Amino acid sequence: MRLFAIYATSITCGFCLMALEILGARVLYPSFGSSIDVWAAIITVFILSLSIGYVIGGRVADRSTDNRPLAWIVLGSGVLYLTLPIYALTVAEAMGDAMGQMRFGVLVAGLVLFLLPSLLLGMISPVLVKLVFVSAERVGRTTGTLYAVGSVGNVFGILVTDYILLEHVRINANLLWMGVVLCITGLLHLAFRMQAANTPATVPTPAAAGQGA
Amino acid sequence: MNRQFLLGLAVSAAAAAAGFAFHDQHYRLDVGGLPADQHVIDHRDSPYTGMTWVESPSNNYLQLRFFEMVEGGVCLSPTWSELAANPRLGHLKPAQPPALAAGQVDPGTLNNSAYISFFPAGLLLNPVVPDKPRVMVVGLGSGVGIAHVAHHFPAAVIDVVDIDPAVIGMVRDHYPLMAWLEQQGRVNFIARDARAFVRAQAGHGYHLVVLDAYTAGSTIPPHLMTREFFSECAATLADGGTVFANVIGCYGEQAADGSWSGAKRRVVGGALRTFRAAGLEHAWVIPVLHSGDRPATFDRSSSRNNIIITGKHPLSPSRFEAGWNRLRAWQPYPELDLGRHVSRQYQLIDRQANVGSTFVPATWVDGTVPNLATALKPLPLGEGTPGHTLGAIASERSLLEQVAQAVRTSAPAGSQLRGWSSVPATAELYQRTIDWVAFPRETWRTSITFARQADKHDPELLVGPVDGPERASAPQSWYMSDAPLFTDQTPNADIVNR
Repeated sequence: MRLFAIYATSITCGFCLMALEILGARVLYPSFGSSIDVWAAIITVFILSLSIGYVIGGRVADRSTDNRPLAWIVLGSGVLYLTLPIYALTVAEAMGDAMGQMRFGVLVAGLVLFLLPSLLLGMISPVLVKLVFVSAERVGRTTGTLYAVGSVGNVFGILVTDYILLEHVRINANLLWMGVVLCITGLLHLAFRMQAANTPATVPTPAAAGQGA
Repeated sequence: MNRQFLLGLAVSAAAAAAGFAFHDQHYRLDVGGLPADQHVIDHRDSPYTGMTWVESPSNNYLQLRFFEMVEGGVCLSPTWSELAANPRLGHLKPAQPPALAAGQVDPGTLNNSAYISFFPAGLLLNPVVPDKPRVMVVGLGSGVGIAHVAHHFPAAVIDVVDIDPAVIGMVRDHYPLMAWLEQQGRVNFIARDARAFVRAQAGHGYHLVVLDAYTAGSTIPPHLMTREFFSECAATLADGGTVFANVIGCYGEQAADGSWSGAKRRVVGGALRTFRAAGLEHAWVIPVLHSGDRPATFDRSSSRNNIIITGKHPLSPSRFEAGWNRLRAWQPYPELDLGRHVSRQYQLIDRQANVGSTFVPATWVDGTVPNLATALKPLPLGEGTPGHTLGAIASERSLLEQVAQAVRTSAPAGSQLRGWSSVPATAELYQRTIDWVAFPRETWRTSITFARQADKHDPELLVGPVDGPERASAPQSWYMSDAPLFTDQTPNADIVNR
């Protein structure tokens, strides 16, 4: 059950993260067109936020003893998904106007809109490692499986969003319902407490791979 | 129940309430210069764009917009039923009247977007105008261009390729005439990338290939503007067939130091140079004149639709006089009468602040303000200006106040009344009258007349000789001398067209 909850969280967050990457590009189209610049900006922002997220997440993981930090991180990202539609277009247009040059405008707009939510979802990887960790002998297997599960979530997030959701569901509705799912995931972690294995001194540094583009 | 859970629940609920309460306006309607009565018929998102059908009875249009950009518009009046009742338009008469859902409109074929009138030019510039034209259109848009061809060439079979199935669905669902033409086998929709479809159609023998694909950012997709793609287009042509490209851009943008620079002219120049390098060596440009445009004061730096027609046979007015005489003699919508499909509207304009209100239908104002008709002073039309749009101005303040008052009281709920709440001190009242039958005719007449002037639109003057030894040794006197050659290796990705 514990393992199931951890894998489900990993898949959900991996799905929503990559869905946001696809949706994010589409959110920027009205203001910046559908040029290669938009994709360059989106990929830059997501890779950058993941690397920052891994660092911060690692520190949070070292301090945490249960799944509450995880819960708040996931819930925070859900809140950002839910509120993104409200300011996305305004921010994108303001950036396009302020920067004058579209190429910088789209990068700044991408940073402002998507850095924080994707950073939060990047943070959960090391935090989940902390929760899934049982013993030093099995650390490779457990973290490897966890990353694989998260990556499956990534893959589905891209494919399902591109092939199904974008064809049938409004952009903002996509964001809102993913926000709802993330918030529920966070709330479940708040409702059901989960202790980390109580051996903080022997926890090895999590590998800096995993949920990426 | 723990406290953190309750806090998390409260935060989530607040965010969800805010998010779901918010209604996005990816298609803004309350914009100065647009009609006050415009409203949304349907909106859909796709991976490529967000598309909206917007209707404005007062401006006589049903427009398809990608985000906020107008892809094309068709006139609501005359309706399809009206056209079908015209004995001269038997080819638009369905066996059974179409079943319309409640609130659904049935626009006809009269176009509301100037450049679309020019699709037939590509057929008229075939050496022999085909009886049964085979036409390919790359990029569907609203579908009005296809309706326009079907109107004027009853036997035409038109293959329309668009990458976005959602656009095709949108047109089928809200433009009944197009759905009927498809049932008749006169129009075929293909949801596919144009590059793949064009390759598959090699040898099909099209008399006309229309290139009108734009991305959501008003840019021509890079892979649809390369020498390789244009060669593939050329391979689909019948003997004497032409390729017609709608290229938004300008002839030149002059910097303060007098040099010509800027990306928009590189799109037009690049398209010309690239077409000719792809074996479609003959070409001509027809700039589509806006209302108010005068050939005498043609602004090379003003961005507009430029129609580039290319082929393997001579297309210049001097070497293909018969074709150009056909263009001159041709008249769009000969079956329709002037003066019957007219929209008249009012706008408050402040020329000092360079702002304008939304356009309100004349019916909201007329009859409520005495002396308005006599106070309006007609604006003169310049020599050679297209005569489809007539303007008149009134500036007496008390009159303007009365008009604004009338607008506020007679506008139905949900109207877009930007700029009507008060009358600025320097405001004037502008009355605009558009005859939608004169609109395509006058645009055609003035643009074709203007395009015949060889000293302005000859590709040799615009971009220089066709690529080859001659180009290398020629003096660079043309004013798009830096026109790029787009290939699959060096596409036009850097040229954002706005």
